[in-house]
Amino acid sequence: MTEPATLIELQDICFGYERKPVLQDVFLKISAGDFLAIIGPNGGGKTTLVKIILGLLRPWSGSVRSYLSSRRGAIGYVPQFADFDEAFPLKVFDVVRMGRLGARGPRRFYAKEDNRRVESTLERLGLEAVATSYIGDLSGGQMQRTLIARALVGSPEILFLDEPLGSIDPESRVSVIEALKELRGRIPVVVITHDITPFAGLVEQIACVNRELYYHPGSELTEEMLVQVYGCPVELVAHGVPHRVLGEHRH
Amino acid sequence: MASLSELWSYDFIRQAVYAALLASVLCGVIGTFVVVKRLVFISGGLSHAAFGGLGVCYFLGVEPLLGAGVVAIASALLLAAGSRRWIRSRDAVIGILWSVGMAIGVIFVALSPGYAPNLMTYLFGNILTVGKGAVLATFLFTILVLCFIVLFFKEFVAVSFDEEFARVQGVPVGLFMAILMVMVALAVVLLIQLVGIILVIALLTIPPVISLMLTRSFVAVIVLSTLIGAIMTLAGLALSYVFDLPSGPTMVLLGALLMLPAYLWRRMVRGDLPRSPRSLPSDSPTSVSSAS
Repeated sequence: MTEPATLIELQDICFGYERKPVLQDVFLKISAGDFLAIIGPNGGGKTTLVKIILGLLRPWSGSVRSYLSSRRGAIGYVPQFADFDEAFPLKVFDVVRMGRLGARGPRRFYAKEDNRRVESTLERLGLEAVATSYIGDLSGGQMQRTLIARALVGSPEILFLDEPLGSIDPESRVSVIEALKELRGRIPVVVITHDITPFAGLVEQIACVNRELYYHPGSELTEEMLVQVYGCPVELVAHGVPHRVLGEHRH
Repeated sequence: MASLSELWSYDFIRQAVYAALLASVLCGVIGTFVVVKRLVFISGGLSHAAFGGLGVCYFLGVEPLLGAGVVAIASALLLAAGSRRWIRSRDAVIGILWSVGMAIGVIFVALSPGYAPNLMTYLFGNILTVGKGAVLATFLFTILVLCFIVLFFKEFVAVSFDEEFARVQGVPVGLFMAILMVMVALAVVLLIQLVGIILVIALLTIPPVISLMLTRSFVAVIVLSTLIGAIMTLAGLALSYVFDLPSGPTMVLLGALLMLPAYLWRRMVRGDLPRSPRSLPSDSPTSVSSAS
């Protein structure tokens, strides 16, 4: 079997805000077919890392190499939706169509083809019923799926999601997880999350980020991994009920 | 009271009406972006900073609005260029531009020889003193703004809604923000003639705020804000004439009064912004626009 093609490769990335380092000596390789979870404590640099990959932040040192095609919209990005202004006067359709900006380019208006692709993407994510709703009227899960649709409508070659389950209700979580299940295998996915439990069964690689990055090619969290990242002892919290993902801790 | 046709025969009344109509277009287009992109404080900073340039030009005997324009654009570009690096201190930078501009303006106006009767005009505006040249300049600028916004509507909306996503999609976000800020700066300077430095923020914010209570379609907000801007400026002008009040403050207060029925309408017709999906009446007057 041949190795899957490398899509993005980070080499020795260092980055910080002001003078405070946030990421140090980060190496990471994302390959075709990956379903990578980037986990780590709050403030550990997960979002920062993805913003560097997306080109939104420039690293102090190190290099980001992309083997994706150079067309605009090759990267799909789903930011944390808690940051959005609910009162912004836009419909679901309008928001999703923003995902066609790159494909359309700055010198042309949206065309019929854009609208058609928006419609089919809305259908794919089960949003056709809310296409003409204003974003302020959506449930958390609907808004999150709208943002996923926006990221997918430009036919990206890889998809990044920042805390896709953050601050949404449990029922909506199911719909978002279903949407991600549908993507697995079709497009490489990178999910940032502080809680990996709901993604069990989806994730195939794990990268733990807490200033440094520890990469694990399997989907099992080992004690060693968590000790490296969080220090010990560690308990992951999911669904409001703390439960242990590790064996008993020995000191 | 003089008849309408008699009033219309006065050149300064005609110029005032033209200026008011052009101003409403700026209120609608620029104001909507100012409100949804939350540039209100920046706009306030730009208008007050502009007073510095205005004062210097007043002192030198050059057209004061020219100085105001130069300073406003320079401040806008400064804030646009710095917006990514100074995220934490941008508020402070705006505040400093705001007050230093005012200080420079007041000092230079005070240094100017003789009586300064126009100072009040610049602070509070007087639509009846707007000259032909200023109306022409406003007209050309309005056309330019409309061209930019129509041609790059999808980019301006995307940048206003989500800068990072727009950047990932390859939109030159910095450039569009700079253009937007320069348009805000120029709009502010041109609107200063109508309502003055201190009140200009009302003209940019009240119409879109009212519109956002009545509709949530982006295009409808722009159109409605233009109409409300026209009501504010024209009816404000008429009321100031009838009651012999200063025109700028009359316009602003009229706009503030209009917010009340809009608010009540929203509470009664739409309820207090329902959270659950699909609970809006589907025949709300907003369903027309956003397919454009």
